[in-house]
Amino acid sequence: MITFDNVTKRYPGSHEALTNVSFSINDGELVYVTGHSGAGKSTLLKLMAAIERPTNGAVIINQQNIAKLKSSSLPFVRRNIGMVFQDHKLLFDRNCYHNVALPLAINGIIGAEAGKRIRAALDKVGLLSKEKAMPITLSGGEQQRLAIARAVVSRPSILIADEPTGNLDRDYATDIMQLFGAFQQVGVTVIVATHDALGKVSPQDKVLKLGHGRLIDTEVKI
Amino acid sequence: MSAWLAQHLQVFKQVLHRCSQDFSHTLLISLVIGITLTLPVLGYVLIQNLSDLTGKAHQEAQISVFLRADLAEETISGIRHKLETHPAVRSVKFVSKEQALEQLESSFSDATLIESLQHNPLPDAFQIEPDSLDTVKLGQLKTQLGNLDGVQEVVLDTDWLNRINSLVLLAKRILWLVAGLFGLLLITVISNTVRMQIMSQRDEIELSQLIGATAAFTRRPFLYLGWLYGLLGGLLSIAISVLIVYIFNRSIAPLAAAYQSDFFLNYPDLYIAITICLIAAAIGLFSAYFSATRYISKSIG
Repeated sequence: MITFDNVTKRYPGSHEALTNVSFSINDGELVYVTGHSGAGKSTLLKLMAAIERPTNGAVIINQQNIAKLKSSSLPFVRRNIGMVFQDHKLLFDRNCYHNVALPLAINGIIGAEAGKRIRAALDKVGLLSKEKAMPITLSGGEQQRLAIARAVVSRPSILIADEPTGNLDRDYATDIMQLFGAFQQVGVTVIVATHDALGKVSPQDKVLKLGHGRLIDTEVKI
Repeated sequence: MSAWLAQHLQVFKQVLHRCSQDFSHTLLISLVIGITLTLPVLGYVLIQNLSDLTGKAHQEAQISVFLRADLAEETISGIRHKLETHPAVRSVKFVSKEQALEQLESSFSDATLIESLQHNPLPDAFQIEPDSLDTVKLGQLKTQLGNLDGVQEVVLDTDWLNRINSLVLLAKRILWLVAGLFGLLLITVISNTVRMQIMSQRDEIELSQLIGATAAFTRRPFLYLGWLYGLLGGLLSIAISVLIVYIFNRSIAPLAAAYQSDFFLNYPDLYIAITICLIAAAIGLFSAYFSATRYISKSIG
């Protein structure tokens, strides 16, 4: 469960990126975060991923208040969160297999168990046949799927994606959104920041709409 | 525990793999470290050889106790007894005036010069091997022996040894200073190399931290890298030093033979080799830790 309680985030020397934001996300929900560019979507995701800490308020992830945790404890919170970055952040000096292996190595999972999980994750996103390919040889959609495989390989309870379909054409974007839906079906809490989510939202999905750093609407589609 | 070891082993393998992939760079850095370390190692080898030489000279240090010419046999026996029971004396050898004259004759090529002497001018003497080679104790022993009845003169020529000892001591202090400066130079070289490596892997470091890597995890490969550079540099410095000593010994051999000497420099022994490698590896580890802690902490956020 993720809870934001009156959260404000202000970057040094800058304006408030988020102001008094409060909401809750239950386990296994699929949540879209929408809003115009600069609305605070990325900041919200960084707070959820324990990459940033709030200036005021409480961000509670799996019963842990990020604001009060020691810096040395934050990496252990992040390990339970799969993050798909807007720019993918793939490592172009190694092949697909070794890109996906990184979170497992961080979690101390190596050897045969790691190999099994890496291939399962690549299979899930349809890239098993390209495990030895270098990321540079992949299309935009394949790179995005590789980033998703890396995010889910350590079986996180929360999956966060920042504009995962931003640079993809409609067919690829549909594939990617279906993948997120599949992860939600197996109990993963999925949070997707997107410009144009509403067209793809299922009736039971939640939408957090941001505007100028404030939560405009928390809407549960029925 | 086994998982922890397996993780370390995997990181070490990765570092070895990266070093082998960029072998020329690894060799170049190791050579820089090796050459930097060679000067202190050679300095140590030279000083060690000099110390051995002065040590041998000390071993051969003897005190000559010359007796008055008019002493009776009983008096000489009494002196011998006092010398043999003296706690600071290890051994005593009596050299009669006749034996001394024979030794003198044998050392001269022209025996007629000795034969022309009307009487033996040499005194009876004792040659004493002292128990301690400490210069203060030797001085005290010389004074005590000089005060014995019947003793004409006590000769202890260790001034030149003391001068060499002082020089060796000075050389050792200079060597420590030089070694310290070169150690600082090594820290700078390895820190900078590791920093460059961190810069080249900045994307990986940032990503690792974003998805849950601890500072220790992120730092670990660079610690292995620094340690490895230091160790390789240490091994190379020993190899270079051995080569230089070998070339020196080969070059000096004809000159030593011309002086009927078997002079040669001893090679750095195993103890020195291991010590140098350990020190170099420790410097590498420390430098890498310093650099990684400083630059990795800046990479996130």
